[in-house]
Amino acid sequence: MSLEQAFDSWKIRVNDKIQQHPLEIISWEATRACNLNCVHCGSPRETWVRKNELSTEEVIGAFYQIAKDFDLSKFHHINITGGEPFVRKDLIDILKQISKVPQYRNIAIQTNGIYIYENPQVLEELRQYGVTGIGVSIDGLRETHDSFRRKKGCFDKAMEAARRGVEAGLVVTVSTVAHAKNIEEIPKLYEEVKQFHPRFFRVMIIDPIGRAELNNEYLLSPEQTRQVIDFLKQKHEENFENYADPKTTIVELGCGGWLSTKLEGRVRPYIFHCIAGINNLGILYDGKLASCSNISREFIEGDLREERIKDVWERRYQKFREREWLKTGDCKNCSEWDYCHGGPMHKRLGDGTMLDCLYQTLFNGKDYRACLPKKAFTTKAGN
Amino acid sequence: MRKLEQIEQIKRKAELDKTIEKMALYKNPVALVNNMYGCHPDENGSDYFTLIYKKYTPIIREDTR
Repeated sequence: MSLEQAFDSWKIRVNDKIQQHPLEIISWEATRACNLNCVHCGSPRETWVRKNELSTEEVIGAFYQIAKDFDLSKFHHINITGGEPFVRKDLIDILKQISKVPQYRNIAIQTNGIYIYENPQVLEELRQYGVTGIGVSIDGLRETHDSFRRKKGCFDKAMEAARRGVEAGLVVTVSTVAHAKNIEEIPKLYEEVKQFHPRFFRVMIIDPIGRAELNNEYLLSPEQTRQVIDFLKQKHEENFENYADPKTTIVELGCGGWLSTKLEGRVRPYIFHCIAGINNLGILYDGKLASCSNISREFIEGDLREERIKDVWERRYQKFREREWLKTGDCKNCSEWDYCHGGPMHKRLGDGTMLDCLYQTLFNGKDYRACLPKKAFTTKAGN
Repeated sequence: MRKLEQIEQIKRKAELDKTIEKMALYKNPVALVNNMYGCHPDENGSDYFTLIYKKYTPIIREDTR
């Protein structure tokens, strides 16, 4: 079978998956609170309303409701994001309760590593209550990372937390947001990180959302974007033959968008398609229901305090499954539409406006920094 | 010597292409996408990375679920 035929098969099966939209992943934004205040945060706490945060009972109730109402036979994992999830004092209690549901025993937590560093004994509890993976954000070498965290010592704590995670037998991802002020450090960071064998070194190209939207000097030029992709491609080519070995660190580009059949599978170990609302449900900190936890609040489709989650999933997520309405602007005549269906939803505003497209940047040199819609600055995606 | 290097390069490219073919044919076309922060066993507990990257692993059949 040729690669072209394989991608054709993939396209057909993606469309089948969209039709079926089985719930396989829950992304729960545990809180917007955080013990840090990063310059480029994609989910900043500015709009966090403490009193609206789901209570312990509401969170547990929501996960039990899902287990009762949905067919979870194909369920894959829960992904807990923030803010900083460990700021929630009840996080372990919640994990203890929800992991009683057998399908909920594959849980990942994204963290800045501070809590784990200061409380390493928590790793054993996490394992006990269904956590199989952690993602630790490390956004540059020591000085750069600490400068972005606006606090000294964070780099060492994050590295140590990730290392301890590996030692504890968790699948550890080191996540790095590539931006204009750290991309020169990424190769060296990768070399440092792989010394303790995290399973993944995940690089996400900074999105014009959250605080980065207001600090757009961090956004990458097309040349810088290509530099990041070239680095990942080079490392992938050098190491892919060892990827079956769990001690090998796999490089992967995060969910920034479709890259073409020439690059997919060569900068990350899978073929990308946005899963928001297809097999992924987003529960936001205040119980609002979205298709991903990293999506504009303009895409909130329901509220678990007022309605059954299954009803919202079945009745209001059509816009994430039938994406023809996004086929405007650069997507209108794009040859890649049948593969990507408009790319990741977190790069869209509620009216469908696309903030940027990696494919257009890489193959047509499009620089979106100069043409970010004004609305992007007032209607924050990610908020 | 140069010819040997070229042959080696061609072999590696073929191996890499084979892994992409396996990814494209993996039974769940979106299971691994945005599968953030480390949880990568599939619904049967199989290790995706062994399936994709271990040499001589047979091509994965299409999803019959």
